[in-house]
Amino acid sequence: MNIFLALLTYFAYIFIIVMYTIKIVKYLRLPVHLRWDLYPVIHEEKYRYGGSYFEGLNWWTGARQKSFWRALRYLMRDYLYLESYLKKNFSYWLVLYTSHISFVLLIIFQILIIVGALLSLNDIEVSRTSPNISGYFLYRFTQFTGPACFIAGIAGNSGLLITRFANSDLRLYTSSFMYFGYVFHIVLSLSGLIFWLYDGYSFLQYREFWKGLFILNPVSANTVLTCFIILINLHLIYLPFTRAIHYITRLFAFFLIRWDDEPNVRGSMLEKKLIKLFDQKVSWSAPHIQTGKKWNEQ
Amino acid sequence: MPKVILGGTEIEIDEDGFIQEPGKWNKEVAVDLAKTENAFPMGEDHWKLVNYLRDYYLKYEIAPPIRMLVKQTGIDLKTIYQLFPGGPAKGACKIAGLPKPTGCV
Amino acid sequence: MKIEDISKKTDQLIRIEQSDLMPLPYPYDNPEKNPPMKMLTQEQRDRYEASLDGVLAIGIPKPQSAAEEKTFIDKFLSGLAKLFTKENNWTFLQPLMHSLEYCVKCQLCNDSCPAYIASGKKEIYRPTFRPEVLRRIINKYLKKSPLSPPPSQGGPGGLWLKFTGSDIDLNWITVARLAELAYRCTLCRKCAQVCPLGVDNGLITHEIRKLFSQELGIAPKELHEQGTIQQLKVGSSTGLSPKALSNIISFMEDDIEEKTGKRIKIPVDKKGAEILLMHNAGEFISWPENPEAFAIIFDAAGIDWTLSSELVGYDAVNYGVWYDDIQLARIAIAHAETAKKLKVKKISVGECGHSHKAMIVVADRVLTGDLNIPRESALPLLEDLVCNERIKIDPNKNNFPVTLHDPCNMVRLMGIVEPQRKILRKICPQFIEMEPHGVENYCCGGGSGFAIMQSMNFPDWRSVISGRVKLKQILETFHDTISPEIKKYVCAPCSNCKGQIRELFNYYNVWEECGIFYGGLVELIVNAMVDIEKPFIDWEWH
Repeated sequence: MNIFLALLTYFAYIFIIVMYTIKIVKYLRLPVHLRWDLYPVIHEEKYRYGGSYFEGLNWWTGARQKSFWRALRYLMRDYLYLESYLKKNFSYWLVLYTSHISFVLLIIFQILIIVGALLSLNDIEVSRTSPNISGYFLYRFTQFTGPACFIAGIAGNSGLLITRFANSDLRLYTSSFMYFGYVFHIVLSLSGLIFWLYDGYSFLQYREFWKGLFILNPVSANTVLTCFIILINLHLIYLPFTRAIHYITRLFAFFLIRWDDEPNVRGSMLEKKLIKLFDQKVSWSAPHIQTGKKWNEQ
Repeated sequence: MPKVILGGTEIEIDEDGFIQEPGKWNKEVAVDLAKTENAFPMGEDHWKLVNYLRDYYLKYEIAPPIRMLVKQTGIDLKTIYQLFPGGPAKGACKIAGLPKPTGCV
Repeated sequence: MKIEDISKKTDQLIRIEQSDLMPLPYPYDNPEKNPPMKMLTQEQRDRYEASLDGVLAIGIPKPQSAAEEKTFIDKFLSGLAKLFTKENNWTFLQPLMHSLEYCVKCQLCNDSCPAYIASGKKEIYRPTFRPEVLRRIINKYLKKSPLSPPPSQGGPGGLWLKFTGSDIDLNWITVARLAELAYRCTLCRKCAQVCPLGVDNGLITHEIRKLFSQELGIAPKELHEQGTIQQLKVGSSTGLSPKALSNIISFMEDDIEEKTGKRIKIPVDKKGAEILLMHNAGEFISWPENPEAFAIIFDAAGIDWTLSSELVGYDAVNYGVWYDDIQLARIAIAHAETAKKLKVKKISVGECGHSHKAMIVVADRVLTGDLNIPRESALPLLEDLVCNERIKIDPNKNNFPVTLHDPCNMVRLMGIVEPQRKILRKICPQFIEMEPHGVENYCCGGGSGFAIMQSMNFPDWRSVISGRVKLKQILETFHDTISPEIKKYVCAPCSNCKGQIRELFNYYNVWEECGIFYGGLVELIVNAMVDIEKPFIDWEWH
């Protein structure tokens, strides 16, 4: 069992990293597209009312004022409290936000456990009586983050489950797979909560498990912890099959699509890319298209 | 495309009743089209407008701007709507055998 | 109604009933008094596939044999596959993939869709419905997943597909309905604007249209045969030839002289001019006062400008931007070549929204090398002339209520928001904004080619459904002055929007009942010019 748990954990982490890398690389390697901007574009000087550089006479002559940081801040703010939902639909926001918080806390919790394991490997005690200040605070943080994550997970996902089922607009577009996802989160959170209660609120055994993983010497885990570890690993394997990566692709969508207002300047890299793209053969078969000829021969 | 008998001849029309074979247009066709457009019987002013549209179309292969029609025939827009309840484009042009207007007009 | 119902052979998926529609304000607050929608004839229903909503934008003839049905479905699937290849669809691949994969179906976008709200929330018009149908077809028939081999192979596919929510049947009626449904969205992209994940349901509609046009040769004839094909052949989607253009231009010169007492020579094909002004050719035919007003203003300000009489060069439209990338590219190149031949310094686009977007923004990545000639909107130039007093204005001449309609293409999709407002604030003492306005405006209901699609009962659908929210907005804006004795003006600096507002006003008799008129921006400028004695705006011309 020890070996199985260890192997499952190694596999789950490698799997999610590989899958997410593939997804991101695939996304970023897609060719440059025709412009399809949508205003307001936040990096623009006149973003407050949605203005663009096209408002200027001879716009191609002036220097552009572009603030990447403002655009990034704008997106980050939405990450922090899901502003769009808060403004439009409070009750949905409430359950959605709670479930998102639990997701973020789960990541933080895992990091805290891993860092804790690394600290104890370096003979720094992680406990409430630790003489080391980092050990002490890490313990306290973990102790708070874990249960907060699990409670939020149960509340948020139950809320989402009920909301998506009770609201007919949402129900119509909710697949069984999505309901399964909410239930999965609830079960995972429940198992975490039970483990926390069972473990004497310390997560000590979970840290020990991770220590074992680092020194390639798997340690045994009790049934409650075993359940939790299996669930958390299955969760990692399950994530790449969901839309959870929208945390990252959302950034791409804004920067590479919605706010992509880069003008095509003669002799630029962009122009070179476009000339290459136009040099490809088209195989559309409608009568008005010259199938087999290139874009630039149409 | 459906075919109908207009002025004694079989003529192809589009979904909205515009004739598709402009060469087959004659006064009898116009009169029959006028019946479908509540512009029957056709009086002098009807013909003045229809003939102007027809001549312009034969020369330029398009309907003239309505402003031009009004100016050149001396018949104001209100009267045009009284004569052709479908209006200058959908009513008068259809009776004059012009194709349906296209583009952002 | 469920998503998979789109595959069921029923008489009609939804019915548009007056009593379900979003209520309109006074004087249209009694639904029974509003004109009913025209129904298709039985003969048309027999001939075309009208089982979506009883409305026809394309009019796909019903199949005559099982073989014909199969070819249709196969071609649809081959086209669908091509949408995901770089060589065939690099133009929109990244945006398409994103929008298909990352919608979480939170329905936050629903209320921003004017067609969906106006219809009384009919399921098929919901902005997420169309993409969901496409997504299911892709999951079931295009993606190769080991867990879901096609049911024909007897695998567990059925159950897995049901579990993941990809339940749909691909038959002739599904494909035909999807094609029609692609023409129930005006591509205004207000739904995309509110999406926190950057999903663009309007773009998915655009891609469905492309698939039908580029693979199956299916598009509304007003956009294709009579639109882009005619423009490339005859010179303009209106059918306007250079010979007819020259006749209309001399008429315009006479008209200007009559209205202003001044003879202006409209420059045509003037080599080396500073500006090549490109109008939507529909303006010459339906609203010649608009290009006339441009000529008057440019003449008064001493601008070095010209029109072109070259094929395509006198028609700024590019309907390709609504349904076909190949046609888009061909027309964009033809436009640029006109400017290149004339050796002008820049192209300035007149009051036409979609040609702003197509020529200045989208075509920016079509035109390379010496075809990449500077292109801009005429609005900043007009702003400069009016606000820097290069022409003399007396705002009191425009002392009537004026509101501004924001064409989606110029505003939400291009970020030209303030120039037109600065002008109106300067020349119209009674200028009031609609709510919402600017980048958050509502579409006129005629976007993406709808305003020019005039066949069967589609114009009625536009007036009853897609234009309903705009009509409501206009009536609410003029709420305090709604009496027909008070003349009011909706300024719509876009040919398409003007066409739609004209139809909307005719349908509901808005001039007679409310005294609201519509027109462009330059007409208001000329109407306020000190040097022009007679009023330029002709209120009786509606």
